[in-house]
Amino acid sequence: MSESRVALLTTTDHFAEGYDPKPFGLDGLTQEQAIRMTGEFGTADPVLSEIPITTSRADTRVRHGGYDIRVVAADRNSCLPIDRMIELADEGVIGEFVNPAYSFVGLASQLQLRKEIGPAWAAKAKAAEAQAAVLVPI
Amino acid sequence: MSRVFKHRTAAMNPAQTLLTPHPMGCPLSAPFDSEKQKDVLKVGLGLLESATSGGTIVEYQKSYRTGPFES
Repeated sequence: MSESRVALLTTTDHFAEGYDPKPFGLDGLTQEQAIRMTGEFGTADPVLSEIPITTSRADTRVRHGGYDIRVVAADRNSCLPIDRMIELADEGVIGEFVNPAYSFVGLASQLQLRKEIGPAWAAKAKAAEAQAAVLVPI
Repeated sequence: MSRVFKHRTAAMNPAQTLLTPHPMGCPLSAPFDSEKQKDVLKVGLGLLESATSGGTIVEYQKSYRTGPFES
């Protein structure tokens, strides 16, 4: 592990400020709107957000209608442990932390995710030379 | 991941899974519990080296704690 490049993927729907994945093409979707649209999310294709690991806590956004986001809004590391992964790389526990980190809404079409989208994302991580991945579901 | 999803997780047969006794929405820890966050990651990453077969599911033993912690 100390020589491996490790990627991070979460189902929390974090994204970097200025890079809203705009689900359903909606710009500026609020948390309240996302809560009302959980049914639509559940049948939609998930969209992958790429979050540069240099993104500050202040510039990290989260929106997800399927769970209480207050904890991860207060501290992203409770489910999107970017700061901890950077520390583990600095300490030599892992070889390198793959940049960017990835996040999406896990409340999505599971069939599409499993058959087409997931394999495409895995290929993306491999292209980033990831040798292992940590998936953190909510 | 949170132990809340234990049975669904087993049905998906993932490679290696660490289940934590934490609430949904904070599987690694309470907010700002950086020591626990890092420990959960270390235990999870350790599975990649220690697991001898796919589908390994391990339960994290340390309890959820609420702090206060330094932000």
